Amino acid sequence: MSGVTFDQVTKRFGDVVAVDSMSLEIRDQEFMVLLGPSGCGKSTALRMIAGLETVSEGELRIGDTTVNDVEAKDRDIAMVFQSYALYPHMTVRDNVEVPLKTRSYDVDGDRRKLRKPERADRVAEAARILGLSDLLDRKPGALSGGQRQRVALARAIVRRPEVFLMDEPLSNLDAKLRAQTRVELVELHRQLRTTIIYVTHDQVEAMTMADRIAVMEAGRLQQVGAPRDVYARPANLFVARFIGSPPMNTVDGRVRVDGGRAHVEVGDGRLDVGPRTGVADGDAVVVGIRPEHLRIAEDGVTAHVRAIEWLGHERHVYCDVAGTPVIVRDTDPGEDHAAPGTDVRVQAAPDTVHLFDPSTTERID
Amino acid sequence: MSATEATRARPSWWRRRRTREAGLAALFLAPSVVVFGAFFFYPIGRIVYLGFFQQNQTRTRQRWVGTEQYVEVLTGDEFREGLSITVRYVLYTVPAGLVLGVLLAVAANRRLRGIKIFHTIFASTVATSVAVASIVWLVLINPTVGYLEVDWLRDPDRALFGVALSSIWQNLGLTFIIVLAGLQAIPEEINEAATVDGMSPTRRFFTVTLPMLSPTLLFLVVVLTVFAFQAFAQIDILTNGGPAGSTETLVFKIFQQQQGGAVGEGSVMAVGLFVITFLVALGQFLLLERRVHYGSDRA
Repeated sequence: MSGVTFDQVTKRFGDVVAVDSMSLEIRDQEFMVLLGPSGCGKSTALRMIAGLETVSEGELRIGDTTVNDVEAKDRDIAMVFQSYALYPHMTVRDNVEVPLKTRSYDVDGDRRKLRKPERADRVAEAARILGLSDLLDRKPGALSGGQRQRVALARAIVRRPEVFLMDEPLSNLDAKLRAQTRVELVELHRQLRTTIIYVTHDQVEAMTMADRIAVMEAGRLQQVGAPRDVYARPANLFVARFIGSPPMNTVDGRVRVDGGRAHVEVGDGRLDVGPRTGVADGDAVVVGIRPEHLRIAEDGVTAHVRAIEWLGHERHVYCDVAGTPVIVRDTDPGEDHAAPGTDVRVQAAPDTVHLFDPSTTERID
Repeated sequence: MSATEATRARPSWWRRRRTREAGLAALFLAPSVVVFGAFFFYPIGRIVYLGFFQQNQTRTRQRWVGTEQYVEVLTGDEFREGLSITVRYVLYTVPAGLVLGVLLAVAANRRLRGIKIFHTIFASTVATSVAVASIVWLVLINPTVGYLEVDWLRDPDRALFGVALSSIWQNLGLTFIIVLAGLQAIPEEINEAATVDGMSPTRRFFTVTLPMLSPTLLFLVVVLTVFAFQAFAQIDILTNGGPAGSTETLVFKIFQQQQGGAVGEGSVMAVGLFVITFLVALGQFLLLERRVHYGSDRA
């Protein structure tokens, strides 16, 4: 078991910088999710750990070993690919057994190739954990998407590697199966107690499974933290807008400080933002408020209601605030005090209002 | 209309419609039937028919000799000798051509700057006619002006080998293109999975690449074998069957018989060659099919 450390790691493809001076410490036994939109460098980062891409600059360590020059086949990692990448001409049993045949393993302090019965035991155990025992003699072509995905997982866990790498392993599954597999992966992680590094663009997967999330954009690490922290205290506008569904509302505003309390002027109204140290009177800011923290109230900022989406347990009120689209997520839609085409006022509690610097996009506290 | 009436009424329009559909089907099939009939079935029938006759030198008259000629020619020394040379030629060309094609394709199947230039060079023999390629080869191994100072084509023990080398080279372009296409159809993630699973490149080649390439290789074995059975132009140009008849394959002997006016005997040999080629190809399919993996999907 071991962690993975990126120390100022850069990856270039020709003139394109895919990963830009990334420093990240992934702890032993941690479930770390690399989250970001496509092309943000998260897959490249994962592939560098696997040894499928070289490191252009910086140092990459698995445990205490620098692996920059260690070949993929000699790294103690296992990977689950998006397409599962099963060997179509082999049975499930043979697929799972492949990594056991190619490597040497520590058996009672002795490093050697596994014998046939030892391999069979390990395959059987992995199959049992993933519920594949009845499918061992089938070929991948005869399996469903979910079953193939589990074979790919079995092929990874049978090695008992130091680190698991997963590259969007759920993206080829339907919504229901994806939700179910998320739970299973978390259970698997608890059972195996191994480091898992998981790449996804799906914030729901990140929020539900991760111990910590590393949000990436344009090759750069934006924020690293527990899902709760990343959600509650986004480090910059990108993270604020990327995490959360519907996303955080952001509108331009201007700070007014009087008598120790700060307000922001948005459109024709004012929002109380409580005591803030990082702003001065007259500063231009970007105001961020999550849809569930906005409520329709007697006073606050004028919002012109454009449309209302009724979802049963909640409703989303789409409005315009000072020319910017804003969504109010109303979880208590019992009483109806908004209608499309009318103006309402929206309000938020001071501690739910996030402020960002419009030029650096960084968070202001 | 009641149900009984409906059932009774059905056959008449049913039959009309069936007739109309059959007519339409015949219309669609007509072009292929005409082409195959004129250039395939008729010539085969005609050759089988000619095998029952003996012609005079000027081919103005023919005499019915019946199945006797089939027995005589197919059990004769000439046919056996031609067949033995043909089989040797197949054994010289097919395995070597296949191995070389696979090696070349594997070597060229990587992302390198300018690799397309090599793809084009390796594939170029496809666009070269057998005649041109043979003449290039002839000059290349000419003992006086050639680059290789060998005189294989005039040595009865080596002439067939010399012709085979030329054919291997000529077929290499086709083999290369088809194997390269087969290699590129293997998903990159499968190769990466093999690497992460700890396979060395050699092991990966034998446990992943070759099995996934097997449908391509089966196709090539059959096609190259048929090519070898039918080789003619290169033999005609390089050795003209010589020296001392050492490169007279069945096709070459058939050609000579026909030239010499022995149309009947030549026809019998042609039928013999057809049946043998057919059985060999069929045998290869049946034998190799069981060991071939057709990737039904890219799981």
